[in-house]
Parts: sequence; structure tokens; C-alpha cells
Amino acid sequence: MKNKLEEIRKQKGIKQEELADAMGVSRQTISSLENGRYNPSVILAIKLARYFSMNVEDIFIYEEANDEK
Amino acid sequence: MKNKRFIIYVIEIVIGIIIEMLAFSGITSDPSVLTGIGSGILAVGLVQLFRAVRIEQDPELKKRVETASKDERYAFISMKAKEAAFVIYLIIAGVISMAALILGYESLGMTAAMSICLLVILYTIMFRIMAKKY
Repeated sequence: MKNKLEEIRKQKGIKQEELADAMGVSRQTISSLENGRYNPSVILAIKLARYFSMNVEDIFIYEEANDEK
Repeated sequence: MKNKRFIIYVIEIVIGIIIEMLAFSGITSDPSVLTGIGSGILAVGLVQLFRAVRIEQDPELKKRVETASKDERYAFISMKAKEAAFVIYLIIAGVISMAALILGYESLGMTAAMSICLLVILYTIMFRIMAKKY
């Protein structure tokens, strides 16, 4: 699953540490999300979307061809 | 909650000391097993207590540890690591079991084979329990 998290975060001028604190996760988790190495849980995806006042689909792009376990 | 944790660590240390004392009191002819168990429990208790004190004294570290304990990615990694360890253990135990039985170490071979059976049975039971839960 691709995402625009890094792009959106940078647009808003937020540091990874700040976003991690707001989400209650580690900075490494934000970094992994941005690099596409880790897909968030539904809860974290919704929390991120609410934090940026967006829809989940505006941040995360689901591609069936690249579907993972 | 914090005090409860500290109490558990202190209890571990006390149990470790009691087992060590029993081992050296001559309660058994071979104290090595009791010494091993006692020192293991004592060491775990001491390390946990030392870690807990260090975390309490360092607010930055405390925050990092608390975040890590709630971090979903860490939980995911932990689950994946357990999954991989389970499969690797089965392979290693399988190889050891076959090699030991071929080389005539029947006791070792059977122990390794039985540990595989136990793990598979536990997995099946846990799978059924989890399937009902989720």
C-alpha cells in the first residue's frame, strides 16, 4: 500500500517526532510508514487521517496488485 | 500499578535467594539444578528491578519505553519474530531429531521429535481458541 504521509506531513511542517507523539507511536513507526515498509492498522490510519483532517483514502492508496499479507 | 511491578521484582529476588539458600543447605545431593534455577530467577529479578529503577529516574527513557509498549509496529514485529522463531525451531528440531535417530542417539531424537509434537499440538489448540475469540 502506497501513501502520501511524508508529503502531507512536510506540507504541514510537522516533524516525524511530533507526529509520532500525537499518534502515540514511535518515530521509527512513522518513518516505516512513510517508506512503505509497514502498513498501519485501521485505527492508526483513521487517527492519521483525523490528525490531518483528511479521509483515509487521501493519505493511503490501496493497490490490489501489491496486496500484502 | 508501578508499585505492583516493583513488588513482583522484589518477590522474584526473594524467591531466587530462598532457592539458592536451599541449594546450599544440602537439601539435595546434587544442588546444581536448584542453584541454576535460583540464580536464574535472582538474575531476572535483579535485571528487571534495575531496569525499572533506571526507567523511573529518566523521564525521556520512560516516555520511550511507554511508547514502545503501545506501538503497534513493535507488536507486529514481535508477532512476526515469534512466527519465524516457531518455524525455525520446528526445522532445527526436525533435523536434530532425524540426525540423532539415524546416529543412534534415540533419547535425544525422541526428545526433539516429542518437542515438535508438543508445539504442533499447542499450535492447534491455540489456533482453535483464537479462532473462537476473533
